[in-house]
Order: sequence, then structure tokens, then C-alpha cells
Amino acid sequence: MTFGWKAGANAGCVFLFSYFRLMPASPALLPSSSRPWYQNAAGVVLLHLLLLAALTSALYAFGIIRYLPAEDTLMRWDVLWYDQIRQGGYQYSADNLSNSAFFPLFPYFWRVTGLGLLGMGLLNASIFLVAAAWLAHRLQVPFRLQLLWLSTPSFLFMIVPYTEALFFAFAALVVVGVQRRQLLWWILGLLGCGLSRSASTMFTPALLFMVLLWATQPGQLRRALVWGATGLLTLALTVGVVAFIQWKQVGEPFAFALAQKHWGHFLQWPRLYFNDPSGTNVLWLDATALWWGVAAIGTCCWLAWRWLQHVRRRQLFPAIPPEVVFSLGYCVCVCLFMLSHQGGSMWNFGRYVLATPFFLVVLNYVAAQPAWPRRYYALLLAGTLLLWQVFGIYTQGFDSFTTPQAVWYFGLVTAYLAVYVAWRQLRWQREATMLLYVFNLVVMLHLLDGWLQFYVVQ
Amino acid sequence: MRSVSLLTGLLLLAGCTSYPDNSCVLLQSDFEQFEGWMHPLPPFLSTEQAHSGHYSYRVVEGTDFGSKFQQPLGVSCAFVPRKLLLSGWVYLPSGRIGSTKLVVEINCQGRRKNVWECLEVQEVVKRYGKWEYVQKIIRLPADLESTDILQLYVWHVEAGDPTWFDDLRLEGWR
Repeated sequence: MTFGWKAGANAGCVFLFSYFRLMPASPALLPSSSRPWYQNAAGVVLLHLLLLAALTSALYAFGIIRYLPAEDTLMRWDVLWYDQIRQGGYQYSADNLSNSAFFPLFPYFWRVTGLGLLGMGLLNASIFLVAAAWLAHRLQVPFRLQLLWLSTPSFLFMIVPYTEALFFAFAALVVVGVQRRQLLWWILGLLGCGLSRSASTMFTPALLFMVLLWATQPGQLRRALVWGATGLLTLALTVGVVAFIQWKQVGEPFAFALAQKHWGHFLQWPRLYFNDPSGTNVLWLDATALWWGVAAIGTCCWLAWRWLQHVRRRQLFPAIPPEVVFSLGYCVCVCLFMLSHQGGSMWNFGRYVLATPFFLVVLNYVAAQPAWPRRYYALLLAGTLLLWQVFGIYTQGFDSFTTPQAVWYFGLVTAYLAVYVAWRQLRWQREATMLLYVFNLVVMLHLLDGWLQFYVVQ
Repeated sequence: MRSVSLLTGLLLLAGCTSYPDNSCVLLQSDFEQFEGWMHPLPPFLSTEQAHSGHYSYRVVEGTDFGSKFQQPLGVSCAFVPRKLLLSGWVYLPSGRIGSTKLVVEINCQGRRKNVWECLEVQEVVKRYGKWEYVQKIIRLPADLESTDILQLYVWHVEAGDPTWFDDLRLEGWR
């Protein structure tokens, strides 16, 4: 399915955005009878589980990783806060850290299940795997890409008692709801997301942008407005529910917002050079999330400009699927939040972007686009290498790395990113996929091993 | 070709002659120099780990701050530096050190806001149970004076596991 495109327009930024020329023609799956068992979304998840189990057992047996999730290793970092809410509800301090910064769905769900730490971790992992299989099936993600995506190191948070798995499942419901035009799924998804995380902050601008572009499509105005209105009402409802719970328990309805400043989240200018308290073994992941965020900002700016042209001159407007616009909008909001509220720290960027369904939506959309010529990649490469200067790599701002070492470090990050962006065009796609798949799993297990020892990896 | 060679030679010569004037050593310590002078030895000295010699600088478990080195900028430097190169060796027993900062602070005694920069040790050291080299370039504002007090210390924000430091060096550059 194609849509109109004014030839020759936007030559300046066409290198970034030409993939919008076609509607996302998701690769059609072969008839099920001719495919091996692992070449469907659920089969890929099973294959992934098998490979993950094999690698984990081998690395554990060799002593390369020393800890596995267990009752005595899972009470770490934010689990302490969730457990506190589960056991005794909310507490709020105007002067110090408090559990009011966390949203209620996960800790109360945990309480209802009656599970211990390991049980909750395993339930989280199961929720994530089912949601991931369902999402990949609905988006018709190519099986190799699905396998690569499943190995994303940030998914380590799916097996610990964190809110990530629930958020993922509900966000998948949001994405598929929009894609399948199922209003009830959309509402349920937003409700779940808004109660499990401060999603309304990120979702509201993304939702408005999606509605704006969706309404521009011929004959879609009414539907877009209905979806927008129900979405906003649902997000408002989640804020109201959280405020009500906290007002009842601590007497401060907006404790969840007020508590943020004690976690270092307040409006401030980003300070150069950007850093990551987690350190060099996580920074590259957060840097890739930054890259996707900046790319999403560029894409959304271009879409907004095209929309303006459409309104003023009635030029044809690219028909981007609303779930893709929403996902891009989410990435933009996370990126802007990070840049405006963390003072140059990239902490948790990867977790908030890569460990969500929105990353898969964007990745799958890019993978379904026609091949780009080499000059596009050359321009992207130049832009990427420039972007890394925010970490001070060319001016000795990257601590304890000399400039050549820093350039090598970020050169590897760039190569890693290039595999994802150019995945559909890779000559050695199978080999590159498996190489990164194994690398990602090793990194995920390494980070999980550190997390279980109370090392800073988030 | 000849002029290029001449220019290269002049540049090399210029580089050779200007080096001593452009930098100075504000601090260089392997923590061996206290032995024999102080009884008992200051508590920050440790023989549990050492990168060179027998002694290193230790911040014990549960302590927020390590001992502080301080002296006016002008004591070791004939000029007011615009750039500092902080380097040293760090020994971390594990990743449970919490946030550990090697802080360089310049106290401007109320004349202007103090300069405060730090090397986040837990960000750059990911190998434990061995000595690791760390370094950081710090750019300084132009309005410092030679009487401003340079301070160097370790800040254990979360007072985690003990940490050891050795062969600390702070160079000043124009």
C-alpha cells in the first residue's frame, strides 16, 4: 500500500525519513505448514528460552556469572520500595526519599498474588514472554529480528520484581489496540500503563501527536478524536486513582510527583558532558537509547513540518500507522524528559526505551522499509559520530578513557546500532543477528549478575 | 620541502622548550612519605593494599569522607592553571561501593562560587579486586587566583565498601 509523496521535497532530511514512503508492509509470514516450529512468534520465544537457559547454565557452571535470581538475591534496589508498598502501603516524606514515587499497580498485584521474590520474578518473566510473543505475532516481526530483539540486555528487569513486565504487557495492549483498532484494548492498556508507571507524562504528548496525524488521514477525523478523547480521559483517570490512593494513605494526593525531586528528577539544564552513574558497562545501552530518542525527535519534527505543509498547502501527508507515531512520540517524550530532568545523566534511559514494546514497533517499522542507499548511511554515521560528543569523547571529557579509547568505545556502539538500523539490508544478516544475540545475552546475564550483588546497573 | 623540515624542527623545538612552563605538579603522592615522621601513622594510611610501596590511602567502610589534601594553588604552581589532569590508581573490592567520588574542589574563599568537580569512580572502574588506573581532565574558570585553596578528597556518598587509592597525581596546565 502506497501513499502520495511529493517528489523532490525535503531533500535535506530525506535520508532519515525516506522509510515513510511506504506504509509498513510487514513481511508476510509463510503458510504455517511450510515453516519450522520456531518460525512463529511463540516458537521464537520458546527457542529464545532454550538458548537463554543453555547459555545461563553454561556461564553459571563455569563461574563466569556467580548469582542467579533467588529468594536471597532478589531483594535489591527498587524491589525494596515495591516490597515496602506491598507490605505496608505508601509512606511519604517531604524531605527525603520515599516509596510514594512508585506507582501502585505492581506492588498491589504482588500483594494479591501472595508470591515471594522468586515467584514474583518468574511470574513477571512469564507475563513478559507471553506479551512479547503476542506483540511480535501481531506486528508480524520477522523471526530473526524477534530473536535479536528478545535478547535486548535491558530485559534483565523482566525477571526481577519490578514493574517493567506489567508495563510491557499493558503497553503491548496499547500498541496492538491501536493497530487492530480495538478501543477496549487501548483503554485497558492505557489504564494499566498509567497505574504501573508515571506513563501519563510520557503518553499524553505522544497521544496528542498521534491523534493530530491520524485525524489528517482521509476519513479518520472522527475516529482519531474518539480515540484521543478516550485516551486522555483514561490517563486522567489513572492520575486520579493514584492521587486518591496516596491521598488516602499519606494525605498528599500528588506525593508521586512531589517525591520525584528526591530521586534527582527535577527540571534542570543538561550539563555537558553527559554521564551515566551505572558506568561504562551500561552507558553504551543508554547511549543507544539516546540515539533512538534523538532519531525519534528528528522524525517527529519532520512529521510535524509535513503536517503543517499539509494544513497550509494541502500537500499529501504520509500515512504513518498511528501505533508507530505513538511509539515515536513515546521515545521523544522519554528523551526530552531525560534531557530536561536528569541534568545530563543518562541513567535508566535504556530501560525506559529499549525495555518497552515501543522500541519493537519502531525497530520493526524500520526493518520493513525499502533499502536505503549507502549515502543515507554515511550521513547517519556522520550524525551519530557527532552525537557522541555529548559524552565528550573528542575533548577528553569521557573520564578515564583517552580520546582514542573513547572513540573506539563509541565506534563499537555505532557498529552495534548500525546492525539494528541496517538489519534488513545486511549481507550477513544471519551471522550478525546471532553474533549480537549471543553478545546481548552475555551482557544481560553479566548485568543481572551485578544487579543481584547490589551493583549499580540501573 | 626544506622549509617544511625547518618549520617542523622549529615546532618540535618550541614544544620541547615550552613544556616545563606549561604544566606543574600540584600533588604527587604514593603515600610512602609519612613513614617515620608520624607516630602513630594517620588513620587514612593503609597497608592492606598498595599499588606501589607499602601504603595506600583508604576510605573505610561506612565512612562518608576520606582525609582531605589542601593547599593554595600558588604553592606548587607558578601560574594559575586552566586545566587539571587528575590521575591515580584505585582498588575496589566489589561493585558494592555505592557512589564514590574523587573530588577536586577549589575554595575561592567567598570571592566566587567554589569550583567542584569529581571523578565518579564507580562509573569507570568495573574490575574488582585489582588496581585500576583512572584519570580525569578538569577545566577551570579563568578567574581563579593563586591564593585559592585546592582540595582533594574522596566522598563516599552512600558509604559503601572500603576503597583504596594510590599514586595520586594532580597536574596543572595553563
